[in-house]
Amino acid sequence: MRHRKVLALLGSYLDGELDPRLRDGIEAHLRGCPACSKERDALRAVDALAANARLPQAPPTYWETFAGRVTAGLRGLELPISRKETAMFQDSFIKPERRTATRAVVFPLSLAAHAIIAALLIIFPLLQTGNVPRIEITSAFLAPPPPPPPPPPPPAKKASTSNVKRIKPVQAQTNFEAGKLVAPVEIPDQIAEEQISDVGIEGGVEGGVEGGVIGGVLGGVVGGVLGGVVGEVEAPVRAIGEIKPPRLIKQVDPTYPEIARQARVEGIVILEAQTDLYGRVATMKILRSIPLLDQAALDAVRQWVYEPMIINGRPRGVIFTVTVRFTLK
Amino acid sequence: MRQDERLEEGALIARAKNGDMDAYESLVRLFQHRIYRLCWRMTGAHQSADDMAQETFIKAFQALSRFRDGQDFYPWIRRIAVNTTLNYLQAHKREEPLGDREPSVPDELPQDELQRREAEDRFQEAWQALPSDQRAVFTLRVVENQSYREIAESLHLAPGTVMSRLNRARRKLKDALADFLERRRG
Repeated sequence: MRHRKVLALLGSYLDGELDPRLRDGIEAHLRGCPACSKERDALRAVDALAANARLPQAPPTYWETFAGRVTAGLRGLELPISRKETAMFQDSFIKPERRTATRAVVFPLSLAAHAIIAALLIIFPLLQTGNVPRIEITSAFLAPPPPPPPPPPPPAKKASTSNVKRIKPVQAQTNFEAGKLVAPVEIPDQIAEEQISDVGIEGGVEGGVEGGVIGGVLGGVVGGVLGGVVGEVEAPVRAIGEIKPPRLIKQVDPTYPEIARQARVEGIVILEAQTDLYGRVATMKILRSIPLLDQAALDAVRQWVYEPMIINGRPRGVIFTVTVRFTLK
Repeated sequence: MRQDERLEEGALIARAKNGDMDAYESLVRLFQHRIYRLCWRMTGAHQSADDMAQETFIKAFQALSRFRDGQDFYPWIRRIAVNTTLNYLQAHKREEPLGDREPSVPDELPQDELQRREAEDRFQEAWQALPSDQRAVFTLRVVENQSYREIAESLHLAPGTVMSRLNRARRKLKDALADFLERRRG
């Protein structure tokens, strides 16, 4: 038998735990091997030291009270556990390790509850864009001063004879008689230089216009201009004062631009729109601009149709302001 | 164990099972020294040994209904003591064992006594250096004189593990005490 195997089995040999065959083999080896015998003796000495190790001498009172302390401890255990622990840990930050199973259940629930609360506090308001306080715009926009009233309508066309009555004939008042020279009563202090108009009729009017044409053509041109003025479009009127903006017949809601929605841009775009004779929006001009929303407002208003404005029996274009309000919902 | 002691033990256990605290106290008195010594060997300190011995008896009382009549009480409670102490040692592995420091040896002691004390001190030192599982196996084998099979059963180990732990414990102790043993032989 080899030394290594013998050394590995020596302990078991000393303990008498080896089967007879191995034991005999080791005994045979030990007889012829002083080194292994020495090892066996050393192990025996260790065992003897362990078995005879001096035990601590507890004072006699210790043994007298030991059993009593055990039973006192047992009686203490019969107290409610919570009371015991409260008394023991009331001044401690360390909580007793118990109810681990309960906590294992409560912990995920607590996590979920926190997540829900966080979602309610953070995510939900983000989704509710409509609740953002709306700022009312109080500033007024002043339209530019109205242009001078349109010139009086030209002589009625033949076709619309019924409307001719509306035009009151005005008696021209003249201080002089035509074709008669009147000497000035007073000598003027200054004689204004004659304004030579460039717009004069080249070559002059043969025979001149006696007495000039003051007050226009009295009574109009009898018979009018045959055929009228084909394609004549009267200048549009501005919806100010008596002239109310036309009634809207067809309204197309503007589409909210996605970029403006994401940027949370809202507000009012004010346009100046001009309708044509048929009430369709012909031209537009932005009076108050919100850059992200202008195009949407223009696109929508371009499709709007108004009731045609009839002034003096004739359809007219109208200029008026249109307010397009953009609010996020 | 004498017959009357055995009868007394059985009677006490029967009464303690019915909740008689006085009977259990008497039973504790019968075994307290042996259990304390076992715990002391495994822990190496009086305070831990005292705690473990107390806990052993408390656990034994709580488990008394599972004790089969006619069985020997000591092997049963020894098993509780060993496992309780091992659990404690595992939980307090990193703590430095609070060894009991005996007062220094007076010079006027006879030579034999001096040598004996030195041997014990050297052994204690080597003993404390052993891992707790090896100390437990070694205690059960050498002090309690249990067979490998009994140790394996009470510690829930394979017999091969018991053997290897014993071998390692013996080798460590022998190495730690080699010079001392050599000197004593010489």
